[in-house]
Amino acid sequence: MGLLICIFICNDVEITNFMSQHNHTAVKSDWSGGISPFKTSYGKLMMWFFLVSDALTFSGFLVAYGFYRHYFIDVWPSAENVFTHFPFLHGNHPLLYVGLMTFILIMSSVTMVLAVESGQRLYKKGVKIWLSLTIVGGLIFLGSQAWEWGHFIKGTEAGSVQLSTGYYQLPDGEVKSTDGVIARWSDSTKQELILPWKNKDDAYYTVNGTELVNLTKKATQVQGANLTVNEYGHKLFGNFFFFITGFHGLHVFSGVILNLIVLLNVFKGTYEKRGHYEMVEKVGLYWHFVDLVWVFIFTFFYLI
Amino acid sequence: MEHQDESLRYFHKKTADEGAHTRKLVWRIFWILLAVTSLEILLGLYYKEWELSWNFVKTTFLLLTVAKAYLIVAYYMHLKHENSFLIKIIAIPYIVLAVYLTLLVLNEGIYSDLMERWLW
Repeated sequence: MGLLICIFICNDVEITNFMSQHNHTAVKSDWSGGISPFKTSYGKLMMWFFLVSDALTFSGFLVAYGFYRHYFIDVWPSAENVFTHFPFLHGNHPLLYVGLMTFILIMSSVTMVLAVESGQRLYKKGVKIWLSLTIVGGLIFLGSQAWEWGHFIKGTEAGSVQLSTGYYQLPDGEVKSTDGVIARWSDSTKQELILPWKNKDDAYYTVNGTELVNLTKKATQVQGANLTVNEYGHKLFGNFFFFITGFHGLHVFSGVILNLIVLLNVFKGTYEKRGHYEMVEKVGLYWHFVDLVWVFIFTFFYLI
Repeated sequence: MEHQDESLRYFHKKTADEGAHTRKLVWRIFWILLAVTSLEILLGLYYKEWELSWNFVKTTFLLLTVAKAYLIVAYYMHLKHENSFLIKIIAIPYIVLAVYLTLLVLNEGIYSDLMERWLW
């Protein structure tokens, strides 16, 4: 033990000597205290650390989503059959509305980075204009998300059918459990049911006539989506959708609140007195992060 | 007050010329992001008509998403122009942990099916 301590102290002395003789200036410049080795302030560094942890949280959610999606690949709904509405337009418009939402968020990211840029030149008027536009963009995005949630919860006119416990033999001989399986009507006349299983040609099996009556004897009608069931397919799809887009929406909402507080301070002249607009940069980092998360949600929920 | 002084120490006022240069860069990145997003939407809508395989489309989506993420972090969040220690301490832990998490699920996820079939 004593020997160990001795070695430790000797080593320490040696290193100290070595540093003071050879490498003193180089070590002193960055890591020997007094200044930030990252050449940035405490607040900005902590914002970055927070964003890394938050990014890992979202990664965890999306990886879990990917896992369950592939685990229930048979009965997982395709987003292009779920989110097909567009305001004031009739018919099927997959991807269009979410594309608009993505555009709004990218646009508000641009106005945010322009607000940051104005702050770096101490140009107060520019910060006011661009930050206000960012807040407007954030509010439009939140409204769009509420509209989409509303349509998802309300569901389609025809709805779908949730089958009860039992088995169904497919035409190719395979036997499938029908416990809790969601089957959609092929049209609003409700004469034909689309089963969630595909044949060799990648087309879904359908049932009609007496077979349909037998299959749906104890089935329940489902319309819209909630946390226990949704008419589009497996219930975890609804759960993940509500949870992940809801968590992202919460981030957008808190981002709007933070932007509002910073904007009030800009109007009051707080940052002018301080001599720098670093607070705008910090909320800017947060706002870009929110945009960044949406890029991934857009890909994993709507595109793939 | 000390905190405020610290922020002031790392603040350098940008000139009008530097500002114009930054704004130009911001708008260029915006057009790239918009083009990539439009391309993704077009691919999603028409890949069947263009007779592209789903695996190819999926891989393209993933690559384009990572490219967009890089542009946002590097230019909009200014990480590319920060101190090199800051870049490393932000990027390395995130990339290592995110890749580790994904590989774990890809590697171990196959057992969940076996568990359901044989344990319950």
